[in-house]
Amino acid sequence: MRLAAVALAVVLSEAPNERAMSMLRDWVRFVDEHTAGETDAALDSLTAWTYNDLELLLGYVEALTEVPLNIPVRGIRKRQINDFDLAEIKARTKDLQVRGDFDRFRKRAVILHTDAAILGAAPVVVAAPVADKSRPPWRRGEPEPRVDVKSLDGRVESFERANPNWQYSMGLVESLPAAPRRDRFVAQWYRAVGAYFAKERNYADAIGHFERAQLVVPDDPLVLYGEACLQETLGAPRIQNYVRVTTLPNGLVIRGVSLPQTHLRRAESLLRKALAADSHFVEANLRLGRVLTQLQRHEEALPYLQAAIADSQDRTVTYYAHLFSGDAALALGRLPDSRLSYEIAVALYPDSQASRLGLAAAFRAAGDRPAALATLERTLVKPPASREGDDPWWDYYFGDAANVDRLIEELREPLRSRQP
Amino acid sequence: MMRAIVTLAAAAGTSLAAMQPTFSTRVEGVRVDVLVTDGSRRPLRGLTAADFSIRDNGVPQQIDLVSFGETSLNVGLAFDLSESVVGARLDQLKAASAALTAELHPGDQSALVTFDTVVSLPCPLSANRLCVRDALNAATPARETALVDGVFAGMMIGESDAGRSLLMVFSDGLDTASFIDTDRVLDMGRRSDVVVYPITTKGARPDFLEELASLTGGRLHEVEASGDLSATFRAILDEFRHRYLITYAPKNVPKDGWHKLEVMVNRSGARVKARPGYQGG
Repeated sequence: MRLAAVALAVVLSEAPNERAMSMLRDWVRFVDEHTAGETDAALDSLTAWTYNDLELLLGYVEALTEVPLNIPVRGIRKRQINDFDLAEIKARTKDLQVRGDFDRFRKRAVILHTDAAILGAAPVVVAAPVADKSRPPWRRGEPEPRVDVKSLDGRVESFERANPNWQYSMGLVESLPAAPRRDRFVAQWYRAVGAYFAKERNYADAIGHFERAQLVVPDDPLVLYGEACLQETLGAPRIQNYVRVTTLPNGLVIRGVSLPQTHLRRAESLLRKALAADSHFVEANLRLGRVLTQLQRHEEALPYLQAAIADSQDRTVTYYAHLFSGDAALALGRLPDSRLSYEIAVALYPDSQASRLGLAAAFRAAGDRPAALATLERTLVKPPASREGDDPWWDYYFGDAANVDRLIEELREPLRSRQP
Repeated sequence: MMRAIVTLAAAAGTSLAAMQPTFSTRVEGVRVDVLVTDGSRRPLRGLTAADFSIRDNGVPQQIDLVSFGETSLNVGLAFDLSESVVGARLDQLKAASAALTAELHPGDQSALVTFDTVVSLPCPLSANRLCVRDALNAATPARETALVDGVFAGMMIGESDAGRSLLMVFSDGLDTASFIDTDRVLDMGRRSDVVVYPITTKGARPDFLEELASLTGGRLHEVEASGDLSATFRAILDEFRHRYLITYAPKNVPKDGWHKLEVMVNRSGARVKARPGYQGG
């Protein structure tokens, strides 16, 4: 699990122009030569650059690909490039526009950096940084770099520098024309990468990713759904418990995590927006039902869960919907309804732990302790090692992650070669 | 704790959708596990029913029975075996469990529930003293921590036998994977006879476990990361064994709702620890 700690000051050094311009020429070559999804020589050369190299180059790449200056730091980076270099960059941009499909080049650049982040070297582990109290507090939209906290089972394991390749990808995505309408690739990239962050439990990058998505593709139901999954997870005990008890050294604070209700209400709002665009969006109905039960609005939750059951063609989604319906009915004191829902969930996944815990709770609430125990014992007596995959609940908070391989492949496939 | 005998009126085989259950209940009695200590926190022995008084929602009650050390124990262990419990911590847990089971009396039973993401029952409630040792020797800590699910299962196992039930919960981490929510388990604590003693490492700040211990009349123990778990486990067992079990049939109080309990002892300087109440109905 990765969460973001306080942002560090951007290190601004004397710009060694020759170095940056030389790297920029190499960078264009890497974009041209890289085969999407492969760890080839171009990708190796790019990932051999240090994070400091990449930070130096970023403003030059943004200028070359005409990334919009809609974030102050992009303007700052551009102003640090001298006029001579800017003129040369402008000429190179023209060359790229003349030689062929400039948007395709930019998309291939997105893929290069996305591949570098996914397939490249392991993250850079650093010592715990010291918070700079002389700086004003961190604000949304402030530039990277930042430091991420990596933890395992509730324990801080290490501090890592945020991978700058994501920042590259995000900027390059925005370089694609926004009018008359956004290229479909943009929403596709936000969804796929959001799913990748969910799979990796990389909440640090996911938070910034979806914050930007709100501005760039605010109405795409699949991206809204992806962020709703993230918000639901941030409001869940797994994150809340961790943040509650974790004290970081050197005055660092974890950012991006608020009270559970804040995240759940945000998820509710995103899911309602997604459903307004597509009322038969099965997973959105499911998640909205679950979020409402988490907000103790059980009566309101049930119709969404029922809609998910009615429309679902997927065993796992149907399982979740019955599981959460059982919860809502139990909370409302409707014990037969609750028991029925849990029993259907058990029938769908007979050894699933969550459904049996729920059914046991329903039996117990009805005063039938022997039945409660018998329900639970069936799954408890199986050896843990044989139970991997028994319960979809264990993957619930990974959201869209089950689709990540397909989504990433759909991004790469049309851009595998330089020419269409 | 109020025990209700529930009769399901619907006939067996009736479809669930059509089933409208009818419940009938009768009150058997309320059992309250009470620890009485002197100023030095040593258990006070030899007290009789005449030494106790009890109020149920402020109404004095007639105590039917007070027993001390006469009832065999059901000792449930619910252990976190997630990825963070590796190496020395697991070794300590094995040693502490061995020390604990060595202190069990003939007639006492033990059970072991383990939890990571997966909750397991390698040792159902029984007099088998070797099961816990063997299960822990075979354990491989892995995955995340379904603490709340594990506690829920542990309490269910504790309730499965009429004896006095102690549940010792060990966890060095945070819940990261449970399905059951904490409120449901806390509500279970209000309705259960099982007394919960959680043991956690310092810094874990386990609000849920602290509240559950308080509701059930147990006590949270926080140990240093390298602390002596064996001594803690033995101390908890000893404390639990030296508790009084008070039984009474509630009179002149409504059956349903929360019943605030006040247990008093007519000995100066005596300190009384018992559950603060129980959920009726």
